[in-house]
Amino acid sequence: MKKVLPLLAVLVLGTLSVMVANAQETSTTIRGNVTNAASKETVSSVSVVIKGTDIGTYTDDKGNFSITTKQKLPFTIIITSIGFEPKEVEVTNASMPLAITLAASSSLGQEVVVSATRTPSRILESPVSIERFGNANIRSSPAANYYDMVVNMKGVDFVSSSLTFKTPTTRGFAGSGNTRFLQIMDGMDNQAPGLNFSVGSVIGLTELDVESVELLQGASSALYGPGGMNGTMFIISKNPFKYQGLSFQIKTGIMNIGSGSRDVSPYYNWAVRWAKQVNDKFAFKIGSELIQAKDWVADDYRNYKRNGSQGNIIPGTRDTDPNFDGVNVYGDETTTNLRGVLNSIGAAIPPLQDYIGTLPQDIPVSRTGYNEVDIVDPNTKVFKLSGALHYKLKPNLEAVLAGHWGTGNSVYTGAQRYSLREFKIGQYKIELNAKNWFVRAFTTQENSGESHDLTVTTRNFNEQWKPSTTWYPQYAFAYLNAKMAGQNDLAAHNLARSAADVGRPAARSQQFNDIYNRVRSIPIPTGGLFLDRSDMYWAEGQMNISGLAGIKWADILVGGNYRQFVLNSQGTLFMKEAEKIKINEVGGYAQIGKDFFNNVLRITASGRYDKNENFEGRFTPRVTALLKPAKNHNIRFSYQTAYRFPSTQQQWIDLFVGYRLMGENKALWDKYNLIENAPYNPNNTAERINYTQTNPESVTSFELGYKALIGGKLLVDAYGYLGEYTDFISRRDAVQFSGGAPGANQGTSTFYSLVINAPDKVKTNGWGLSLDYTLPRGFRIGGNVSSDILGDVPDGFRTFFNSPKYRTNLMIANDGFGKKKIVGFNLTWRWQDEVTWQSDFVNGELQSFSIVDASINFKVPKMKSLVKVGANNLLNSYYRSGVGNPSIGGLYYVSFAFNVL
Amino acid sequence: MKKIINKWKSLAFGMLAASITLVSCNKDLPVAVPITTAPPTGSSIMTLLDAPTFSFLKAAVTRAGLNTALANANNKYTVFAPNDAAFIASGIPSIAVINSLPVATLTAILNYHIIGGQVLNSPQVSEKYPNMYLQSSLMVAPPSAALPSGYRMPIGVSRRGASVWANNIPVTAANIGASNGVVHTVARVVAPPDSTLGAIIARDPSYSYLAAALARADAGPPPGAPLLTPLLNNALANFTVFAPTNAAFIAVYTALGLGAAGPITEASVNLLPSATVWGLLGYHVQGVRAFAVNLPSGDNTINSLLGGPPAAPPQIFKVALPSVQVRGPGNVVPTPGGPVSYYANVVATDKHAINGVIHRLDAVLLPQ
Repeated sequence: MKKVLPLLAVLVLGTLSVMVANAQETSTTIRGNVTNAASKETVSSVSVVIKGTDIGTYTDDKGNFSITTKQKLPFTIIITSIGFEPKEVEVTNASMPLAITLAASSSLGQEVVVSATRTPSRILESPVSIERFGNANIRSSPAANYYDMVVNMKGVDFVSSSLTFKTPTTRGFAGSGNTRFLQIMDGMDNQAPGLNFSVGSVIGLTELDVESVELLQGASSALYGPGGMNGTMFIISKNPFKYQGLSFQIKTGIMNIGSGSRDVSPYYNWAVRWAKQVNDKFAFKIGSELIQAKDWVADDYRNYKRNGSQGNIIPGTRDTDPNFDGVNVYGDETTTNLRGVLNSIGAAIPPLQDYIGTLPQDIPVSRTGYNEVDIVDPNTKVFKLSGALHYKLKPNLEAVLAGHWGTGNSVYTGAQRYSLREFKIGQYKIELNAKNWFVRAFTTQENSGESHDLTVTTRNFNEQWKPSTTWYPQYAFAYLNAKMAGQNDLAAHNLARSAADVGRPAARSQQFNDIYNRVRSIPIPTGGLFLDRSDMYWAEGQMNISGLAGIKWADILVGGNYRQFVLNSQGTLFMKEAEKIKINEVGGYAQIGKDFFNNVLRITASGRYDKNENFEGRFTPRVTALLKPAKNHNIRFSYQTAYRFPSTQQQWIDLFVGYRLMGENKALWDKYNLIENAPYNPNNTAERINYTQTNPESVTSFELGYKALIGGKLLVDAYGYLGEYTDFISRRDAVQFSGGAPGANQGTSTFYSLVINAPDKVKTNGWGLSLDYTLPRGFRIGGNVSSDILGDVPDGFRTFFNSPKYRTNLMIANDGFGKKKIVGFNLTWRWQDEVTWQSDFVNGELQSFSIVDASINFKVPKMKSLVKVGANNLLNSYYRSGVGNPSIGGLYYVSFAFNVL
Repeated sequence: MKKIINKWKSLAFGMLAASITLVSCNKDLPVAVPITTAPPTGSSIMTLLDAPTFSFLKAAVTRAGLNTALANANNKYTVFAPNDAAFIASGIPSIAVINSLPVATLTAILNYHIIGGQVLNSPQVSEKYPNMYLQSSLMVAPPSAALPSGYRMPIGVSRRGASVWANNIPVTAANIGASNGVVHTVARVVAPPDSTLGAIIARDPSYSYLAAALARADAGPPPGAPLLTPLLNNALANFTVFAPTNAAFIAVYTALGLGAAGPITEASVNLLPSATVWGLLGYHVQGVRAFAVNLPSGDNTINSLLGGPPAAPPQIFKVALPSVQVRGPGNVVPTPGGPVSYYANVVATDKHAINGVIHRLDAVLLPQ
């Protein structure tokens, strides 16, 4: 951040001075206004280009445009906009403003997507599976936040670990810390470099600044590099040249109705955007968004039986299981076998030895925990601030300087639940975009602020209040006394707990807060604070060299990128000895595309090579074929490979959470002497686990798809795929004996969770089908169903697949009915099947659930405004998107958006 | 095509309508399930005491106010239950006598028969020498910060083959199951001790020589050795004392020629070095509490407080109940045919103290 700000300042000043130097020279100026032929309303953001040139502009928020050109009259202008028939107008006279009307048309299948091939193409003709929604969809969607809309696309799993922390993924492997799904915002990978989650819902774009969201399902490393194994999401912002003016949105709602854990609370989401085209060359935008609410409550108080880093949900409550360890209860992970404490009591007081001797050998007892609702800050908030300067050096060469900064309070589910408090992340970018090439450099700067690990903090809280070395003997004495008084075992345990817990601070009491706030401010391991200040630096470029090399027979695209991670957690997360460690990655790619048989068949082949300094280099090819047997019928086939290097945490994490969560880097194995004194499989001590270098994980996938627009009204999209993962990166438990070997002289045992490549291949397959149909009078209906299946999983192997076998969405909407077409509505229903949920935090069965979202909107054309009444989870039927994650109920809101039509 | 679309349209509308109805059927979120255990079945211990043979005990338990606890199905107890015959054999001939006892005394005696929090059936009773030693419900000192475990008078529970004892009282019918524990019928009332070993020895004139010897030993124990009297007065300790009678001491003093200095009295022991006396007495004390029934039969070796390597342990040979014989390596008489060993006889077994048990000996054990 410190380094970046001066850099930004220099760039801004530089851009401004260039701007001043390039003062306009006078020539022909044409002006005009574009209106909707039917409604007579003006239309903004319409592209107006002089035919046969690159010279053009967009209409402003009042539908006006002007083009100044040296082109001699007469000439033709082409007027295009999504949702309207394109139009050509001949201009003969520049003195009269042009009054242009556009006729509305169906946009079904006509949207242009960029991410599928890194070149613009109609979505109907994409050679790989892709989904898209644009700002018009965002306006009418019931979703309280545009980010949530992804969930209604086919094949998408969506995990909400907080109201403000959501993670989409495709093709399985859902979780908050998904490392197999890329999110790219305006060309920037937005993963948090230290924490390995995508921060799209925290910084990302403000709702008013989103032009479109594209979702590539399936492997995409061949074009986008490591990470996009299962899919890639692209969030594309509004160019200030195209979308101008001041707009704002005020959204107010209520939530937490009937939650049982929290009172009904308000929801606020305010956003503002201002964009201005200063002249033909310079435009800028600034935007901000604030979301504030009381978060959903993670209230799964079921009992969890831990077995190393694994476990399962079992019956039991605090009152019926002395070793109770609630899923969303923290501090109760501290457990001990009371037998050891009792034995020392027996040694000190011999008369008690025989009595103690009659008790069971294993008496596991956990410390008393606190529920998440009592310890985590209920206020969740997101504050986003972003701005961009766009300068056209030439009509076709645009320089962009952009910054996005966000801060927030949220909760994230990783190996534990982490309270992200005053978490800050910034992304700063400089970019040059030409017709055939671009270069871009950006950095991501992460600051975890006061973020802390809820489990670690609460465990340490308990130690601060009463150390376990005091608590357990008190418990043991009280337990013995209660037993000797004739109590049954469970009653004796409960009496013992209340005796040991005498003086335990009540949740949210002053004493509790004093200790808790102190502990969460002390870095791990004595406290719960993690001090992540990791950064990422990235530079990339791409060029279409066909024109340059005079190649006409094919389109050839080449590109490359370099990125560097700088990890810095001051020993709270990553290996202390390796702090400020840098990880360098470099990669390059090429894509060649050629049409055959009069454009009936288009084949593209791409390949990419990447090298991470810690791993062997990787080449990933992709071949796609698009067959167009008839107009608007497209069959696509692709063979894709993708891979990922272990995430920064999988490489370097060094965190004690009851056992040691360890990265795969050899330096960590050395640090804990795991090479000299190799650990054993805790479940089978005959098996010794020796160090082996971890390989990048890779996936190969075949996909067949069909997309068609039938009768101009029915859009069909279907796909099926097969995928195979090799060197699947997983974790396993290990135990190291100080004596070197299990047995009588094994000495002390130390437990680890190690990163390993699974020896077995993991296979997945799936399919999806969607239908969208345009009905008369502005009605639209649509639906999709998709399935992802994991096959051939060896016994006891945890894949973290977390994807339901089936999920479906149904939708009915109208964008404007009634006499003036000012009333619209949108109703969606979503259902997903049950899932066997696996994560580092908790394993368990996730119930199937279904959700209804609905909204009604009213247009105020004069003000270009929209009033919307919306409901997410209309029936307030609480569900969880993942085991251990919060229960989500209904969110009902009213919003007013100005200047968005 | 249009037909198909129309069909699909109505299907979609239908599904949408159906699904919205269905959604209200979303399952409730799973909640924690308490672990339930089957409620105890069968009669409570109190109900078992309704048997006519337990009329004394039932009257006693009721008078002591212990009936509520013993009827509570959620509690757990092991009860050594003297039947009517046992009460009579122990000198309590009628319920009227029970009713004349002070409640506090009665409660103490009864609590001594009850082990809380345990369901101890005879197979679980250890055969290990000398016995299990479990806290009864007789609370002597309640738990406190200084004494977190409290002090409950322990009761010895032992088994040798099929025979089971509470202290030295045989169990006549074992393992009578109840919903809240188990009952073992005993042949006598198991009386709780009320004095320490030290106090018994001090106040019994037939142990005046032993008391004098203890005082002499404690006047100058060997370096590092503990004082014996405080040990014998420590309520938390656990000893078996083989206590020689006055006559036994006189015999030894005579043999040692202490009579040369005048008539042998308790004070004659002061002629011996105190460390020697300490060694001699330590040899008579075992660090465990063994009732006569617990003593190993046949040729066996048990350790004394003084004993254990490298010092020679005493050798104790139990011949047959009720007579127990004991000897040390030094218990020999020289004869023309070579030294012949002799035994000290236990002439009275099982004098029970808070911190141990006394077996009265007719000869002093000699370690060498």
